[in-house]
Amino acid sequence: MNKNKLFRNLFIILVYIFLFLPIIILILYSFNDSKMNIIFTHFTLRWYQELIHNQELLNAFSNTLIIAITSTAISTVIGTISAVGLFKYKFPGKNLINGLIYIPIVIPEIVLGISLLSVYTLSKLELGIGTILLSHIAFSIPYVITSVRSTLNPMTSQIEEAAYDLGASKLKTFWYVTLPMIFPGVVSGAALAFTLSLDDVVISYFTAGPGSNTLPLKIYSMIKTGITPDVNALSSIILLITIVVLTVATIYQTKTIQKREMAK
Amino acid sequence: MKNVIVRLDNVSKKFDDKTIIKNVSLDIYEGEFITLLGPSGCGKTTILRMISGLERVTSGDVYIDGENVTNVEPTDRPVNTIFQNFALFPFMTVWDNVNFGLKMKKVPKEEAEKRIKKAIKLVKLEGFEHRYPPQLSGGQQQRVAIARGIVMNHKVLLLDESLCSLDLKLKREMQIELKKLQKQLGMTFIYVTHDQDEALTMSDRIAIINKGVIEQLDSPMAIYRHPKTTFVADFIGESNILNGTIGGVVGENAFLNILDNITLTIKNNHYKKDQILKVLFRPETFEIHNKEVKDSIPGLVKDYIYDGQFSKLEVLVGKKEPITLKVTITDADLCKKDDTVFLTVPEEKIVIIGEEYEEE
Repeated sequence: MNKNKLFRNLFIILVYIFLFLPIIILILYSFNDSKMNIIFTHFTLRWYQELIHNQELLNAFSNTLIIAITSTAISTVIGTISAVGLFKYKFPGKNLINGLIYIPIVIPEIVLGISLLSVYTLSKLELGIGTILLSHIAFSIPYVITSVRSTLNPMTSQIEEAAYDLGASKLKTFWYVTLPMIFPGVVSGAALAFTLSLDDVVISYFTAGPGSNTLPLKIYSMIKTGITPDVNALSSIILLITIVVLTVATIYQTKTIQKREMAK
Repeated sequence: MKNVIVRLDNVSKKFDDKTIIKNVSLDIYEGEFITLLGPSGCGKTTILRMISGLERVTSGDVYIDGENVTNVEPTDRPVNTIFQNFALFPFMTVWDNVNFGLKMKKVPKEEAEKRIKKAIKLVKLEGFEHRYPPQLSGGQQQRVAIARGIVMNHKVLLLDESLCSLDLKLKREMQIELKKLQKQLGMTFIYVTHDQDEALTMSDRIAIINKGVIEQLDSPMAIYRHPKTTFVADFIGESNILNGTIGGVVGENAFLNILDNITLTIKNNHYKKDQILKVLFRPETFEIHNKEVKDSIPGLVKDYIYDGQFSKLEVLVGKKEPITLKVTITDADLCKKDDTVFLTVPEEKIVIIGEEYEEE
């Protein structure tokens, strides 16, 4: 019994160390006053100061943010509308389309990257931020659809009917009734799209053009010359942003779920 | 003359190629409580949805308050529905739920407040205005749904199996309250249910629906006492339906042959010799005897269930083609299992299915 408990706790601790040690080290070294990521010498904010003056890195970061925010906004809108449409309407080939949604999720990123690149080359699109953005929108939509779809159920349609019955037009019903009901799904879909876009390397690598570096690409290319500690600082900042976004989304979701659970 | 508030004129509905409603015509009067009653899948909910506009008719016309609304969107029809699962907006408070329809119709704020307060008071939900539906019990949610419907001040309220999901005791309470509310508001309630008790206790008129057609439209009493078809006789209450033939007619009397060779004397109603009839005996109309009497049906008590107020018997009758009759008696001491008994039915309580009758 005790032995079991010990083993269980040890196992959990090991898993968490494995998951979080690299991240903790990264944060620690962003405050480390040494150029080498090996020995911790002194606490410093030097790398954060240096980061502010590293124009190249900041450019890449702002590109990444612009792409992440824009692609999240666009893919959330398209994904939400698609999910609602796929749920509500009957049309020939609906099952096929429903199944096809999962393909971009399961397909290896490298295949998606190559195919997107060939599409852009064939249609003579100039590679750059625009093409990266398009690609990110493309691979985010299925995630948003899946997430929104999980919040739609037969009760949703009944409640929508109640709204029509009370004199709400279709548009008003969507705005005042459907959207608030599926909002948890929309939020988690958007959060997923945002984080996926923020750290995407493979697809961005294939669809980026000259001068359109994103942060992950920039860091990836720095491996050859050596990663400077200001990257650690930047990574810590990104980590902070991601944690904040996900925490807000999770809190919102648990609150809504709690509200609904109270019915039982 | 009663004022027709909802009229269905030769209405049909097809889903894909299946006809769900076949040429139904129905006049519903202002201020009445009418129930559409039938087994599940008979099309009663579809009729209701065609009135609310949530379902379009395939052919025929729908009139509400004299206006042809066949092609009018549900949004613009002057009726409201109470849905089976209430379909409340879970993320809005009770107040906002009731306010929703008024907000959509852009009713001025002051008037809206007055109407919401009145509606909430009518359904006895004062003090719950700021709760969310998931925080309410089933009965309270039901009340919110009703308040949300009546606050619109339309003349017609459609109720789709609205009491189904409540437990028995609450259901009984709500039945009485609904009926009271309907009288108080003078509204027309169109109620859909598969529960015959509910229909019989609440309705002014009942429309029995089977396979997309109205089998009978009558007062609850007429439907119970004078069913027009065997379906109605069978669906409402317990029934024993036997085949009978007119053996002969003598003046005021006719002789009705049932089972093997039993002849009952009934009042002549333009019968002809050898005419075939469906005869309905309600379980509670039987009188039970230990000795043979005039016009009695001999039988064997196969099963005897004592139920306090009543005793429910199954009596096997007929020699060539034995049939089990359901018999209800109030005196538990009259017989026991495996007794041979003799059943009689007072002449005026023998019902010939489909026969014209005079209003009582």
